[in-house]
Amino acid sequence: MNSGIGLADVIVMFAYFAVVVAVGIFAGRFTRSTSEFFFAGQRFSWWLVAISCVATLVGSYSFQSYSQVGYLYGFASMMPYTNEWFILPIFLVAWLPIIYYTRVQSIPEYFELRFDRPTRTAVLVLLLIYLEVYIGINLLTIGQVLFGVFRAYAPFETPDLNILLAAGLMALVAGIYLHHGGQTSVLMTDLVQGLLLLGVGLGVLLAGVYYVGGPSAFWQGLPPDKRMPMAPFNHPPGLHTVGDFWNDAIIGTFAFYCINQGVLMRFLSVKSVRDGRKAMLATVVVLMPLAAAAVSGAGWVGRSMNTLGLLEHDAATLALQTSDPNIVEKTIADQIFVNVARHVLSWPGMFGLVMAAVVAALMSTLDTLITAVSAVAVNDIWRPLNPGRDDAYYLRAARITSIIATLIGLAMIPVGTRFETIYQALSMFTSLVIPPLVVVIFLAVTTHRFTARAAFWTLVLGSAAMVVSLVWPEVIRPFSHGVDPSAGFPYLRGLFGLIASLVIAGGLTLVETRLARLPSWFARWAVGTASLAGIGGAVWLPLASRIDFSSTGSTADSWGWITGLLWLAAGFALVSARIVVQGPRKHESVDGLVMGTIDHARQMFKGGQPSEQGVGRSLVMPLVIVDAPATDHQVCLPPEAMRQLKVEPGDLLYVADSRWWLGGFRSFHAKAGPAAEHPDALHLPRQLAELGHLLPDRAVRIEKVM
Amino acid sequence: MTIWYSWLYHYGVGGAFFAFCIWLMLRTGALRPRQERHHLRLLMSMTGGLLLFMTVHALWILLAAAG
Repeated sequence: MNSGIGLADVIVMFAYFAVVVAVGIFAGRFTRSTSEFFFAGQRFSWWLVAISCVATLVGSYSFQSYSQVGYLYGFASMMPYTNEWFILPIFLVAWLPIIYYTRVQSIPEYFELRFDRPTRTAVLVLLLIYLEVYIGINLLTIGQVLFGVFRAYAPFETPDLNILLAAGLMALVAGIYLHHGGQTSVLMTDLVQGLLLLGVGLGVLLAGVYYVGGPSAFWQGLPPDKRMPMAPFNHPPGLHTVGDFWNDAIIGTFAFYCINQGVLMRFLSVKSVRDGRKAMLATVVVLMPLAAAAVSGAGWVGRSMNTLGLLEHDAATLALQTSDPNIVEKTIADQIFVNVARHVLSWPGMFGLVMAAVVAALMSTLDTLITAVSAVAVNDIWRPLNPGRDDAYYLRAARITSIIATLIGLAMIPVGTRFETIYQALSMFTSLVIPPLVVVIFLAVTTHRFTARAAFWTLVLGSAAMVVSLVWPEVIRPFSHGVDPSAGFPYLRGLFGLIASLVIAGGLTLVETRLARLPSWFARWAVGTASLAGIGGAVWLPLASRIDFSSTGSTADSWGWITGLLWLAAGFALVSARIVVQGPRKHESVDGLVMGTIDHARQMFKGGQPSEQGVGRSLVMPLVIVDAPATDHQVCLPPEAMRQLKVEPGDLLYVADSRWWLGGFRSFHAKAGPAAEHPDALHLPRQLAELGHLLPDRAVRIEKVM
Repeated sequence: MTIWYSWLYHYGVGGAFFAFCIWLMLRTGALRPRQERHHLRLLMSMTGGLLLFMTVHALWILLAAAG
């Protein structure tokens, strides 16, 4: 992005920082326990979580990169934001209810319940790599953006140091409110940031359409191939349907909603699973297409303006001494977001607002990731090492680890600058860990036959398979769908990883559930033969690769990928042999942890038989706060209210301030007690009213949750 | 019109995965639309949403192709 920032822009940006920090610190006043720090007390409404989710998904690089894609490929740039439907059943019916009802606090914790400690540790390592790399990449992006804008004021001569300084300052701003309020602050600041980034993005699009002469002129300005909502099947290399489908629709979406601890914590902060489902549906159907238009709009408008001769090019493009149209096109695309914003929003302070939206996109992603690392570190490292301490101790640990997570993210920046582009760095790291995790989570929640040892070794060998595909991209070719191989199949590496991990997972499950139960001599013979074949091949092929194959028309290097595959086969054979020698393990109960046994989890969550009668109904009544002791978080409703809501003693209730726009900010969960004597108002012990931050003169809305 | 290959692949393979997941849920009893009213609503929302995206993308392609 170019410099040339004015005083009004600087004022707008600093005003934005002040508002975000103020909102974050205000919301942080309501955080008193680890449950509130990580999950905001599980009390928020679906719409707040949905907006927050979109704010998280739109990263700091989104405006820049999706505008480029929008300029180069037209409306097809919306594909990554409108292809999430296929994963929905798994998330809505299996993953969300399992995680919510079992009350696990982190993804690795689920794996210990479902499998065993080693699997939890393996997931913990992969998850921390994924999250910390993500934090580093976001900090790097914003460092580069701010360095570009404030280049004239940069204190150091070395660009990398200036980027580090800018990223550090942004981390400090996010850290101030995060350290204070955790998830509650994240949700409330994300509301501000989500609305800002959607508003500015859509504002640029609408102002741009008006600038070119209205919707008809805008449409006519787009070349026919740029009007298509989907990219061609397997070309051009930058965006094609087959790559988008596997890399983004399946793996990316699964990773975002099921593996990203930060997003999962967002869904765990809703007041009920029903609201979590509503949040997901609203996100995918309404907010994601809007976000797609917001981040890509400048690219579409820029293309239309260019065709109609309305786009004035900046100095860098005009100075370009080349006749290669691809380089000119790429250079225009690189600048298109700022260029279009400057054309269509030209009054003072608007550029500052646009920059504030870009920074908002970063901070809303960054704060989510930092809270996620903090949650994983406290629940999966700190708590197991220091068990039995009071909640205040773990809350302090959470606040300290959020600072450490940010510092590690900053330390990742020099690693990220070694890559040609930020996207390359992100793809490289995430592709190593995501496909095996996707397969393991999918099988863990869908089938009880998937065993602990199969899960653990799928994570290990699956990651090894991804390393093989990085070293020898040739292994991806059978799954390339005719995509040009010269770029090394970056968008299809995930498909290879999925298939390799599925084969490993299925194979090892079969070994444990079938082969290990066979008569021992046969099992030893079968697995021993496979092991020898695998190891023999892995040893032979590196030797064979030294042989000159030129006389046969082949080259030594062309055999390298077979070496990689044989190393994997050898690993698989050794693990199989180990499982057979150890024998089958005793079958552990997976009730409540696998799809089809969720009723068990619901029963445990409620502490009794769940009933759906009256769920979703609500009523508003006055609140009277009384100085009486609270018994076991019990709320006694008037008899008429119990009848209307079909509430029985022991049912789970949600009591909130009746103003819907608070989104559950003042609310709490309670159990229904016996019917109260007072017919017209809810008489609530002061302790419970304070728990839900309820105000004495405000009516409350009561809802049956379960 | 090769763009329809993209649409067919996207909703063909994706739809097959979606259908497989729904089948798995019905088979394991995670989704019981005949017994639970909210399960039926959930099933209809999920299927309706998929059909909505399929239809919007198809209509958009037709509109773009018409110029």
